[in-house]
Amino acid sequence: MKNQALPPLTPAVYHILLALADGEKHGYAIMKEVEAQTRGQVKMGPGTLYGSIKRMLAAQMIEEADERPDPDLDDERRRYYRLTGLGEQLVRAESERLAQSVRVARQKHVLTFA
Amino acid sequence: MKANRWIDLSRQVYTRLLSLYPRDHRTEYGSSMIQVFTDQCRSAYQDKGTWGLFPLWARSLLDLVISALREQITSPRASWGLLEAVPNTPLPWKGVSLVLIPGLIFFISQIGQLTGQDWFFLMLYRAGYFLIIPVVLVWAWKRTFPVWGLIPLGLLIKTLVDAGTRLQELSLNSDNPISARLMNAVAKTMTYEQIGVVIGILALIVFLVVLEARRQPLSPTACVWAGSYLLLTAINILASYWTYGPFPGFPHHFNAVMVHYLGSVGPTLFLSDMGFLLGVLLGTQLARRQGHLAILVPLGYLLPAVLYGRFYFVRGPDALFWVSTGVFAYRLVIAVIAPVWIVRSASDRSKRRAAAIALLVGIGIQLVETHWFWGPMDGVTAIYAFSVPLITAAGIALALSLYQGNVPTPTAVVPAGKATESAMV
Repeated sequence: MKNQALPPLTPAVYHILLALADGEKHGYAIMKEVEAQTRGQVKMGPGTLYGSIKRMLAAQMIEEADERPDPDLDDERRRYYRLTGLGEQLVRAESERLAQSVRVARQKHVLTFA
Repeated sequence: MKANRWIDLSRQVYTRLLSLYPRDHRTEYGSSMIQVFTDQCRSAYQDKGTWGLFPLWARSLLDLVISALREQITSPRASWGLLEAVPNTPLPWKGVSLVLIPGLIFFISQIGQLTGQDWFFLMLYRAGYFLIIPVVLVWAWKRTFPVWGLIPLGLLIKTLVDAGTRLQELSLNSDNPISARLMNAVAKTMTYEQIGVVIGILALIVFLVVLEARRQPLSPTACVWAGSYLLLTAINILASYWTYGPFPGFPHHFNAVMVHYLGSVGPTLFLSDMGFLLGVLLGTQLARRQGHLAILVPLGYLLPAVLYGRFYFVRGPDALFWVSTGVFAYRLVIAVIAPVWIVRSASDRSKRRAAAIALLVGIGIQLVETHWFWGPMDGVTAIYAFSVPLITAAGIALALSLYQGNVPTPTAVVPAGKATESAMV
């Protein structure tokens, strides 16, 4: 699938996909990761997080992991999520779109830092 | 970290607030959301102590309201204003709230009326206009018309009808011959249009019943209740005719009676009765398809009738207040609470008890009110007192019999001890 054919993502969905790009995580870990990767600019609440997760599960962007990464170290009630093939494609396409925008911004001297 | 009472309290409050979400969403993600919120509380407390919980709560409340609203609108199983027909579970707060909010508007309007102001009319009708805004938003978002949108639509229809009545009054009281002729012409048109509305509503009711009959043969109970409804309405119209007689300026007796009914000045409202029945019928049709009981649909018709219908029978502010309160109470009990209660009752016995109590409350309030308002009762006022709750009850029973084929028969309105199980359809 070409990246151009994939639809743009909402900020919440993109950040969740990006948070899951390096491995499966539970809800609170996703929330903390999103906060860290946006330098605290995006603080997701539980309502937004699980509303997005519900829609992403329905759209098959993510799936629930059957096994815990380390069951001995974690609460067994936590539910872990991971990217699907479609999710990986979407986060890659959106990231490339953003990177392209950054390149254009640099060419036009909109961005002044390296 | 050891348990902290502020964190525990926050967790308890947040758990309660999760009832804002649709049931299916709560079931699926409720425990995960509580867990995440508790983790956030611990983190905030660790960083900044008790004060750290305040900004977290501010963010969480905003997140909760916005996301709950989104889930409510987008969830196919949950729609605002629809009471799910699930026996033996508490009434959902959404449905109860939507029953109470129009009541609140009504009482605030009454306070305005008691102080001799007329802004309450604006408030009532503006409530209709404001309520239509979320309906339009939902339509723009989902491209479907929400069932509860019939409430503001009902208000708007009634506004048009009342506007016609006002024009009629102006035409009768005007001294200017040109404007009098003009207004009279408009008033006549409006009167005919109002009659047209009634005919249209009747046609739609007949259409719905025929549609239902084509789907499956009507049960004998449904036929009995439909006949009862029409018969009681006819009795009510005749009672009105005998009580009021012709209006000055309206030589034709039939017109006088119809103006009474259609113009929102009668103690019983033909138009709102019909509108009510239509609302219940539509609600039950939609309820079958959606798995909900859309019993709140008639509110749009009931609310303006309750407020405006008694305006011309004022004997003083106190009388108006208590009469209006009584009318609102019995209409609410019979028209809204009873059907929900009946459908949600698990056993036949509790269904009969609910029907009997609702009807007795309605008739009791109406009797007291009639005695107070009209003085010692004669035959005609007694017919009034009984016919209004009975009309409403017949309409509800018809709709419920179409809805689930399991409602009390006429014998069910007698005390529960005298009713038998065979009385159920």
